[in-house]
Amino acid sequence: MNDKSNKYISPYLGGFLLGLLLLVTFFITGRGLGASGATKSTVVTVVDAVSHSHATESAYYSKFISDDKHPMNTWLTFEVLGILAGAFLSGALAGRVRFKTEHSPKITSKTRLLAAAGGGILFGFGSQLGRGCTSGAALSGMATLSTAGFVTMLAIFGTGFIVAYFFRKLWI
Amino acid sequence: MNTRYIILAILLLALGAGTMILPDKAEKEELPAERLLLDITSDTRFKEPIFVAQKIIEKDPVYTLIDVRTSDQYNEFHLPGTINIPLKEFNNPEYQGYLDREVKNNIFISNGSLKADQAWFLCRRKGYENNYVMQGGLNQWVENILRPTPPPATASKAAFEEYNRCKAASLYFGGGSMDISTEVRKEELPVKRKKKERKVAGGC
Amino acid sequence: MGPLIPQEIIDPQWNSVIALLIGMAFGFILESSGFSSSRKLAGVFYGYDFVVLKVFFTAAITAALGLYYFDYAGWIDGDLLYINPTYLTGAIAGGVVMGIGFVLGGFCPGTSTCAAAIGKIDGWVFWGGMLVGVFIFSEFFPLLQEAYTSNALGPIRVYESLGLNASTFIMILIVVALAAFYVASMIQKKIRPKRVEF
Repeated sequence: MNDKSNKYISPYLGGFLLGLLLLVTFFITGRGLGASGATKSTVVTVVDAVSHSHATESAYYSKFISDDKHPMNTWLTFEVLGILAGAFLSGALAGRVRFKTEHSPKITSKTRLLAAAGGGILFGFGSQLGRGCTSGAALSGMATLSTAGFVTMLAIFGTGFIVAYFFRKLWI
Repeated sequence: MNTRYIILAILLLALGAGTMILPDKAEKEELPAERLLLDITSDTRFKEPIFVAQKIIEKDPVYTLIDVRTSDQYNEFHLPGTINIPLKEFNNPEYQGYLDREVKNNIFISNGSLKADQAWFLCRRKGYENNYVMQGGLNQWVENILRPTPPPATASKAAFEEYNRCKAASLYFGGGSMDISTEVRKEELPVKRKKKERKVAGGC
Repeated sequence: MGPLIPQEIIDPQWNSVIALLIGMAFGFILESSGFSSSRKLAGVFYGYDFVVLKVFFTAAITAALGLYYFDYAGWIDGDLLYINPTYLTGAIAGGVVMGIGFVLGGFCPGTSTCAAAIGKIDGWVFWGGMLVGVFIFSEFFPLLQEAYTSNALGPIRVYESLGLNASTFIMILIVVALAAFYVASMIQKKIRPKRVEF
């Protein structure tokens, strides 16, 4: 460990705390953590605002629209707002808050941002197809020992290792 | 290698081994004979008919009244607000949800105390809690609630209060007359227990 | 006893407040473990930083052990927990797409949120990309519906799929994780000195 990364807590401690949080979350709410659900809510809200008829006719959006509840009013939306606040707090305490684009010295900021956008699109698409992301499907699923959790986790990281070679210029 | 990590690794393995060593979680433990005897000799399982009457009048959702007589007898006459689970059906897995209610209470009712007590005994052995027996059964019900006899004038104040309560209940149940079979009401037995249906919706 | 909200021991109207608090703890832990840095996250695929592997595995094992013991002690009703249902095709195909997205973008939804919170512009861009991705999925949903719903296995558990019992599986998971931690630390030692700091 070099001096720069010492600002972060030990990954094992972080994992232990995250596991405890997951346990508490299950104890209180009966389900795990998540994140990508908030992107879905956002998209549904935007589409609903732009064209209500399109949203209600679509086979996918209409699942998440009901008359008595705003599509943004979901557990995961509040949770993601919490993530923003909590991460900001942690970053502020450790002096990590500043506007920047983090990238490998070998690529430009523009390349990094394009890659991030591309990765985001793929992740957004995949998280809907796979019914959840690394936190919602894989991590929470592994905690409850669900088959879906382990399959998703293996698919994400297995693919990651396979394709890592082709994207190495972005990182090393 | 840091010794701290080795200790943590061993701790983790120990916790994992713990899950394997622990005996399988039994659905409900059967009660040991000593415990059962202790419960049988105690009278706390009996509830007076007047208590049952009040629960019916109040429509208290905490108490479920279960008539353990045969369905023929039940159809002929039963107390309002009771459901019918014949004693013969007590091992039917479909009804276990009713008999093992954890926080809610059941009161078993039969003609006398005997059948209801047998039902109670069976449930107790399965480890089910919060079941009770109506003392004296329907016979005593008729005696106490429908035809309450005034206590002698020399009786205590409490006895009179008891009598008044019975008298009031008697009015509610159309007491005085013995023509009670007219108030037979068809009580539908609600289907299955609800527990598993309370699934959580969720996801990412 | 638990879970508290499905049993209505806590009034469901507190849901949003609890979500916010849990989210804050989640974000705090992720950020302080270094999950707001895409280069740390992507390190797991190139062997220079295994923070993802360590945090992820430790968290999953802690929670799985905790749930097992809680269920055993009767503190939590295992039947009431949400087990995400397995749709094999969707899970694998979605996982593959997410895997590529992970290496390309260096984030996942939760971590990009953390990065965005501390001002990483790539975090915001990743989030924007996700919205586009969700939008594309939704618009093409009629075409994808079959893949989305095929091979539905219901909310099954992994040990049932493998024909093991829960405790054996947890034990295997722990052993695998410990081995992975050890191997990871060995690899990291070899590769790390060559790395420039970031």
